[in-house]
Amino acid sequence: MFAWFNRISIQLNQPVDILPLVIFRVVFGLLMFFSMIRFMLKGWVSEFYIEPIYHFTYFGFDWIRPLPPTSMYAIFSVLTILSVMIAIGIFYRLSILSFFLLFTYVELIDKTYYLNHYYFVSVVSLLMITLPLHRKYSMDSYLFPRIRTDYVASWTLLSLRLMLTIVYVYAGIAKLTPDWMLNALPLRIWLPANAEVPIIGWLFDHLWVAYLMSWGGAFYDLTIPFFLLWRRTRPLAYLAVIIFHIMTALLFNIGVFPYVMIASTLIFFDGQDWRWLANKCRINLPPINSSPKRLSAHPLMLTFVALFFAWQLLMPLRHWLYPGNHLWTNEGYRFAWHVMLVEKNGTVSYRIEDPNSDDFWIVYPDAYLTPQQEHQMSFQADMILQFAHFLADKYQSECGCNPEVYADTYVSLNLRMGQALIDPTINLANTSISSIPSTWIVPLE
Amino acid sequence: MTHSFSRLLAITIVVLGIFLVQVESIQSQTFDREAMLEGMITETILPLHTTFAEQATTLSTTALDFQADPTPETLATLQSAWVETSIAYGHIEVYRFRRVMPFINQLNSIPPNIEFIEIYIDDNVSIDANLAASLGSQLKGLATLEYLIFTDDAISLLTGNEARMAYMSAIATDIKRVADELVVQWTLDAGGYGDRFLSADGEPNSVRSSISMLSNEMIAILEDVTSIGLGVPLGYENRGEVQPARVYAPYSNTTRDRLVANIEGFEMAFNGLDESPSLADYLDFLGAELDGEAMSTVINQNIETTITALDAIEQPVQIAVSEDNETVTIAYNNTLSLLRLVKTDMANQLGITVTFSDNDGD
Repeated sequence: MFAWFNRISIQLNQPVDILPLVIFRVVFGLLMFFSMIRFMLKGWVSEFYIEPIYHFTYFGFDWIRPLPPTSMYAIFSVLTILSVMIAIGIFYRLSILSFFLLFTYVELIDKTYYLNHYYFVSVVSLLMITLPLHRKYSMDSYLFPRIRTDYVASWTLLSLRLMLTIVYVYAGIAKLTPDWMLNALPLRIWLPANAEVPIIGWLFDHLWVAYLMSWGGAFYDLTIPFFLLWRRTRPLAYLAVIIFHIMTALLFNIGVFPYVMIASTLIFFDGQDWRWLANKCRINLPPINSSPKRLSAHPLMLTFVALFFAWQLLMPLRHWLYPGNHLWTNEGYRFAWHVMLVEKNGTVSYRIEDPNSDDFWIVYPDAYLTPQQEHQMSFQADMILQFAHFLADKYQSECGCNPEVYADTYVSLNLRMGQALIDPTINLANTSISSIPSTWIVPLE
Repeated sequence: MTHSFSRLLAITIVVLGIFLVQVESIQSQTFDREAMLEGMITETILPLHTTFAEQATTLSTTALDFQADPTPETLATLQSAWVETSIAYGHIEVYRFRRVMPFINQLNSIPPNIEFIEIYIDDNVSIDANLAASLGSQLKGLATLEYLIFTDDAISLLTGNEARMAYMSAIATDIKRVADELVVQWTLDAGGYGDRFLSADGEPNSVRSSISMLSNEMIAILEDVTSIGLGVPLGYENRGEVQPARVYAPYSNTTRDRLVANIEGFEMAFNGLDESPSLADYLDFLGAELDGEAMSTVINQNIETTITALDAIEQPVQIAVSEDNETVTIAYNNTLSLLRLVKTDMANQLGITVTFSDNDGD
């Protein structure tokens, strides 16, 4: 047992070329820079975090609130600057730590805007805090020459590759459902809407294309990290990465996610690959000076990384602890790499009753929410419950009572006929928000 | 081992191929969505706006006639023109796209700001077309005109006050101005909104985005009819106590007609007015079904049921909410059913984008 552990430890501490990590740092920083600029130019700082009068906070993070408008803009400006600092590698550890904290703070303000790739950015930036991505080709290595190194322990490279592998493989496993594999859902809904795309658009009116792309997508997710790991298939696999993600960028409204994945998967190329490419492009990279030596990390650091991956491996599986179809109940749906699995729509209204009289109100959420918030909450049970609590608080003063709040819901998942999502007889004002399985959600028929 | 694997692979490919061929036979035609969108504009949206503009022209003319010869007969003609214009407006209200909202907003802001209108009239401000154009939306438009010409003593108030008459006439003319501008906006190749609609305000994948934009507006009009048109007078935001004064058209007693016109406008947006493929045809093409029946048929049945339920409100809505509450409640429930069908089932079939921010596909 000890010998086995020892062997792994030696393997994880084998010296490897730092170049892939440096490239990852630079492309990550640049991508985040453009992403932040894009976010601000689109007016989303105001639309997402300033204009709404109510925010759907995450369970356990109710204390997180948006700051005043000027501060929100300041945060995004700082994030933009930090992205550049990460790319050029100046005060790297502080930059990436600050980036992680600020970015994650913004993401935790409102679950309306939850996107898998934002979560990816958060967890990768957390992981990057532990990695020595700044020890070559960076301002830090210029300012502090003692940190310069040509080699890093292999676990640093492997940890990023493992993170990418987790994302892809869990996304692939999540696709192994009857909806995706047997009914080509939701691609059969989304693809025909793209039939006017030049050159290949005509294909999307054909159902077999939706099936082929569903199966191809699942196969891609489940296998691509392994084809990228294997040197012989790596170039072709990366070409597949580019084609796959560019296609998703063209067909679906998924923002920078495709580019994040195209950039991130560069981590699968090792130093030898990059030096070969540089040589082909007639770029003279400085030769590696220091001789390889055994590197070791601080035990605390390694413990942190081990815990991080335990979390990453277990978190996406938690939906198995909940009864019912998690695509319907949303229990365990987020933070699990469930990407592009559902087309869901809903209509929600609330009936608020004064238990001491016949007084009642019927409230439509759009009176308080932005269109995007209203759309997202209309089919997500936990958000419907959260908003019921908001209404209970609001109408408490209106009626001078403890109002009862009932939700009238009608939700459709992946072409199924709409049905109630929330039991209309349950007083949601008395239903606590928790992570235990919900009894107030109507099972999918 | 390798031989077995190759055989298994070959069998798998053949089986999957047969499956895909079977699948393909289910859906093998194509649908010209660009033609659908262009047809929507040329055959439905533009004709409806043209009709509205014609009614607005009649309204403006009858207002001037009444101003020149204020008699009960000319007032009745003016009131009749107002009702026709209001119904024509009800038909176009579904097309409240963001970029035409500056025009739509000038047409029917409910309720009018009576206090300010009276101040304007009392101040004896010389009102002309330019001033009318610059007035705030709650000081003009159909709702304001309704207030001025439908009150019981309208004829005496108008004939006894030159400023009131001039105000009435100016805002009637202003309605025509806005209606004419909307026709220009929806005329293709005129650099107006119609061209922008086809390119979905420059959004990528414009066809998909334009269909989403139209669907969102269709949902919005049903939401308004349900929650504001019927829910508010029924008292659903007021402890369940009815609010007769909050109906769409309290002076002309034509609230029901306006609500019906809104549903008819929705129906025309859904089915189209002419030969071009419509949203209903598109749903048929997609094979959209509900409980084994074509979704387009189910939606049309619901539209019909909703209009019948609204038509069943025989008294003016402001009276019916108190005296025939059950009938109004039935109409509300019908519009809510139609709304659910469109906002949930139809949207699920079309994969509508609510806003154009990034998403996870969920």
